[in-house]
Amino acid sequence: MRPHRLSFTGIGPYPSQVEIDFDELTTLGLYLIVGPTGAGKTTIFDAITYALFGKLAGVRSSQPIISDHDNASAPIVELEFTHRGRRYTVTRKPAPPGKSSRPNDHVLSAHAADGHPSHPDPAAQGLKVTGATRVTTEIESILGLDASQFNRVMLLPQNEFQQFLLANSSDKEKLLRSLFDTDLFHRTEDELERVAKQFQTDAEEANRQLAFTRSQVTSEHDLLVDSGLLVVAEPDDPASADSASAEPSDIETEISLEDLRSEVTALHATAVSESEILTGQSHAATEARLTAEDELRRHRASLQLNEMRTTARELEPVLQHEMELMRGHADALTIVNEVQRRDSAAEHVADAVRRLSTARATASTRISPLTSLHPLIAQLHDNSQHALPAALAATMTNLGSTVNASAERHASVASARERSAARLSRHANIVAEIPVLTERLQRADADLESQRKLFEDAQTAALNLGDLRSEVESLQRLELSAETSAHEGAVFTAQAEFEAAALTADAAQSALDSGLTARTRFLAGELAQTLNSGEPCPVCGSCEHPTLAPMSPDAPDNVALAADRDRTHDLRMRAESELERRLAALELAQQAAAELPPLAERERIRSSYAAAEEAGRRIPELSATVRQLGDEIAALRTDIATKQAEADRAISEAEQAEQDASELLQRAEIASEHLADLSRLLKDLDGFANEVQGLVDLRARHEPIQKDAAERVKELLETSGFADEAGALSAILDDVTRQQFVERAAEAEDRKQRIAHLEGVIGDRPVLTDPPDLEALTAAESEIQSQSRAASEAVTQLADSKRRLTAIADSLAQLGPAAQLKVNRAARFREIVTIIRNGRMPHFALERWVQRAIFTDVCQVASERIKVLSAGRYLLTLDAEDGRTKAHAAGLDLYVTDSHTGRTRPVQTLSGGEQFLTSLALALALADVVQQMSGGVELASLFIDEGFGSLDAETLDTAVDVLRSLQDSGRAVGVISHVEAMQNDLPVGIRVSPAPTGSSISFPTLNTAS
Amino acid sequence: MRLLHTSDWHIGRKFHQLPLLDDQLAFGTWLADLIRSESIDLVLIAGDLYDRASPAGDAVDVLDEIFTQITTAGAGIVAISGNHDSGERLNFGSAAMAAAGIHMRAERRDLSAMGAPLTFDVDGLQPFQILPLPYIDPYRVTDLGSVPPRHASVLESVISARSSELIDPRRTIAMAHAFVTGGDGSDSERELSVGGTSMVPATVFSSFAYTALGHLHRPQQITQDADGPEIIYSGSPLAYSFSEEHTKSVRLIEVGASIDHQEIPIHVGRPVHTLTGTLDDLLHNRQWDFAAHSFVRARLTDPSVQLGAMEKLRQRFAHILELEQIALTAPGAQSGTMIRQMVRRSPGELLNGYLDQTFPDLEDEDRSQINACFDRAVGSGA
Repeated sequence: MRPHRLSFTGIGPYPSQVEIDFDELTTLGLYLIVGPTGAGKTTIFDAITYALFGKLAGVRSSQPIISDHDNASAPIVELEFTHRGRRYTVTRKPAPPGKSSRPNDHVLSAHAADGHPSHPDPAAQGLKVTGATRVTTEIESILGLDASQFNRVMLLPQNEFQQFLLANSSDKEKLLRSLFDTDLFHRTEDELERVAKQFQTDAEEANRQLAFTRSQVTSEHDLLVDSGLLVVAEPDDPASADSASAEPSDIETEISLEDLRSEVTALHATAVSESEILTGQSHAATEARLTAEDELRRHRASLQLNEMRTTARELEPVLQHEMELMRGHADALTIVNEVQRRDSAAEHVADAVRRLSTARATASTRISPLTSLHPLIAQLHDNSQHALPAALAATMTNLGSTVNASAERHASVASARERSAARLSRHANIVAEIPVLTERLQRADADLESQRKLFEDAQTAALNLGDLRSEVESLQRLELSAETSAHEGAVFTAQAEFEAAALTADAAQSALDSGLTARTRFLAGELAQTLNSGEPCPVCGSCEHPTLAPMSPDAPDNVALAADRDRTHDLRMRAESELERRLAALELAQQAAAELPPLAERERIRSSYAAAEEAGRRIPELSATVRQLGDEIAALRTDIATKQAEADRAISEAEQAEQDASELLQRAEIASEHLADLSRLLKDLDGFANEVQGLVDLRARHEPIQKDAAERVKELLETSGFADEAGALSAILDDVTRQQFVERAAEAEDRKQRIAHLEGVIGDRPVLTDPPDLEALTAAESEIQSQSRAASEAVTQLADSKRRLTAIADSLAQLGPAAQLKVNRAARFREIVTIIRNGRMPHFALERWVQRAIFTDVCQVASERIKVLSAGRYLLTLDAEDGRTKAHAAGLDLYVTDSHTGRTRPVQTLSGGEQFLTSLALALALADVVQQMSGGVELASLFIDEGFGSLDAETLDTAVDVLRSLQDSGRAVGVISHVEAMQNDLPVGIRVSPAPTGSSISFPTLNTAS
Repeated sequence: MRLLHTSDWHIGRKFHQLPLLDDQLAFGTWLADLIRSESIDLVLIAGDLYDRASPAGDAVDVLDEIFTQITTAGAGIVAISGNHDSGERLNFGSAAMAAAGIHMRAERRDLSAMGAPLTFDVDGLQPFQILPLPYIDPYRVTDLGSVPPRHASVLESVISARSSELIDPRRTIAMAHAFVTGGDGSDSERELSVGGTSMVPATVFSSFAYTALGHLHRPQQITQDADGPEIIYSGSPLAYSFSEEHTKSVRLIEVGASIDHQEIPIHVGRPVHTLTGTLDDLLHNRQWDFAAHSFVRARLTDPSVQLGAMEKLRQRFAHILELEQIALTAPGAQSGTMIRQMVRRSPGELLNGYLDQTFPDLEDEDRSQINACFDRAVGSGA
């Protein structure tokens, strides 16, 4: 396991984000994590532990992980690490107290590490696990360590990592199992236990089967006794009987099995022969009972037959008479029916003739008022008395064409109406246009008026333009002269020029003055040049010249200086007069400014002038507009007059069309009235024709029926015995009488059939006078049958019992020796497994033995470091002196051999500092050996938290030397310490700085190195 | 002008919990006598004055006493800090002490603040200079800039920055505390830095007439070239581990027209000796008489563990400090090779080894049954 990057926010004393790049720190090999106590050095470890396992371990497990700073950000921890060639990222957001976390607050994802071949299992490649518990479980299985084991080997925590040194054997066993995968042997032990148990179960099962099989003999015996097949002899000796029943021995059971088998065989043979005899007897009894039943039936039938024959003889003559009466009744009924049919048909014919004449009279009455309308109607009327339906149809067709002519007239009325409506709507359109035109005319008039006004105003304004222009011009002049600021500037400039000129003039004056003085000195010098000792001075005449005037360099040009003075003087005078002129001008300007009218007045004058000018410019344009408007008005007036005339014409045309329509309508209405009358007549005539046809049909149908029925009546009277129709009517019987006759005939027929049946039952044999005793025979039969069934059952039971006993005997012969083998094997294997699992003096349990083998290697590696740390004094060993460990079941306790005394003693006897160093060496050796073991845990990083404070300076140096030696082991080792001396010897990888607002982290070494 | 080159005093160091302050003070007295007898003008101390960054009070007392003796004897001091020293602590008061002839040039946080040369006049000759280069931890320097974080690089950087202030490198003595390539170490030196960044090539100092080095406890000359620059470790004044069985010395440097030097052995303190033999031999053989007053490390070659050996040996060697018994050490076990030599047994071999030892009469049926269980356990763990 190698951490790459740890990032956390809002954790412990760190309110803000902290990010640690372990890859960079790893380049240091060994580095310190420093900071004052309480600043949060160990919190870095806590964050790693929390990221991996979702909780803290050991003494810190109760520490709250979430920062309680007010300014803390939402807590989150993220760790990237590689393990066995796969890179993992785990992110956890701790839930605040009292709240539960959501699944996505805890996420573990995996991917192939850089530079490593991808993981052989592609399904595991994209591993993603969520949920606090599932992530923890997954990481525990990936690392093979839980939180507290992780703290034992990777994060060696404050005050805790010495515990492994002093831990008892079973605690060590757990850690060694995780670290070195000795769980394999533990699992082997479990497998062995399972096999031993299986052997035990097998043995027990075999014994149980044996016992069960033996117990079956007893059950069989009891079953036979219970079912009464076997009678137990009373035991001779009550004591022996008691012991046998309480605990039957194997031998006794064996013997009783064989006895039972022979006894059952004998019983079975006896039962078979008994059963055969009883079966024969049972069959005979059944035969006897069946014969008796038959005789009894024949006896009862003979009695019934005699009775019935007597009754039949008595009723014979009555039945004959009734049959005669029934035949007469049938003949009479036929005749009466035919008479009725004949009379009914005659009635129908008479009715049809009567109704036909009534209908013809009605039709004539209906047609006569309409004969004037059409010649056909008149014709119809003439024929009405005899008219046929065909004539009526022709008449109706002609009437239809008359109706159509009336409809055409209606259509011409409608078209005249349409024409009239079109004229009216055109009139309305024209009339609507007239107000629009009138309105436009009014607007044009108004426009003309306003434009004409504007035109006149403009002309007036143009006339005033001359006066206004002169007024504005004088105003401008006044303003120009009142411009005082320009004059003030000019005065200022003139003043300055005057002062400069005055200065120049003064300078020129003083230059001239000094020039004059110099001239004097120059002349003195020149004079001195000419002086010779002894010769008199041309000035003073002295012949001695104690002090000669020195020679001046050059004679000043006083003429030029004087000219300059004059020139500058002139300039000053000119500047002065200029100044005065400017002052006068300024005064004039100030006066003008006082006369100037106020600003508003000046604005008004200017805008008046501008307006007048504008008006003048617009005159031609306005005159054109006025002319144009005049033309427009004339055009509109003409337009309106035209429209009016057009409207008048339209209205007169509409009136004409309306008149036409009225005339046409009048004609159409008259035609329509005729049409209604004709239509009604047509309907009447249709009904009349139908009625006449129906009546003619009715008469034709009934006339042949009437004739046929009359002929049938005559025929029937001749063939029957009746004299006339009245005679036949008297032979009709009433319903009740006829019903009685029919029932009596049916009874006689039934009786005849029953007599035939009874004769069949009795047969030809003579009937016994006394019937047999059936009850006694039945009882005897049932008794013998039940005896036979019991015998048969006993046979079956004994046969089954015989078969079962044989099977039991076979089983016992097989099971006995096999069970013994299994029992022996189970006991032997149990003995072995007990030693392998638990050890037994002087043997160790398997896993413990293997752990000792490995731990011995660890001790040897640790001893190499301890030798250095203790100057060759101590060696770490698992074996107590005098081989007493052999008797010590634990086997993983640690001892030191002290070369000074040559004695071996428990590590607990070492001093505190010695214990720390020994623990350190042991922890490092564990990591070394684990790295080398296949199947062991990969430990690419190691963190040691404190403990160095307990060392004296010398020992600390030694410890630091040991730590330094780790730099070559390829492992990154982070050491937490506040021991200042170490900071001089080891690079500071991480510095934790506390502040009131929370701690922060810096990387002093990485910052300067990069 | 006569100079003494010494280094690695490690004042306050203990040897197996045994304080050495008395021996260290004795060395100071010996040094003061030498200064007087040899008319020494200046003592050069090339680092590791104290044994630790924050020395104990009695250690500070001893160094103060030695400094007093040196100055009283009439010599000045130029000292640089070594990897055991704290630059800040040694620099305390150094400006004031310079007036008294004690030039303390300890490590500072800025490269630019280190290496200022000291110039000394020599009557009638060109002056010579001393370039004091304290041990510099690259990781503690704040103005490293583009300089790689290696000891050689920071030293080169300081030398190059000061080159314009040197009148003539051939008349310059450099002082440095470093592990120069080619040097022969002992168990006493603490590694200077991480990985391979601690070594300094001798060429760094090749332009100087003499380089007074500290750090290695064995006195030695790095270059043997007759005309070449002199690059020399004076070594520590006392033995601080059993690997320092050699004679200790200081260097006397004579600066005249040329710069010459000679080794002066120190006869102060207790020598160290490692004695190898059986307990009986060590207790009775006259050949070990020489070690009676030495610090002794005993290696017992007896094939069996000797009980109470330490007590017995202390009777003859009052200052015995270490005792090792070969019988207790696994045969062939050497540091670092241990793991590689470990017999690597497969789990199956371990299992059958266990069975052979525990059940000598195991029946074949049971053995194969156990192996089958083991195979299943192997399978279930996959």
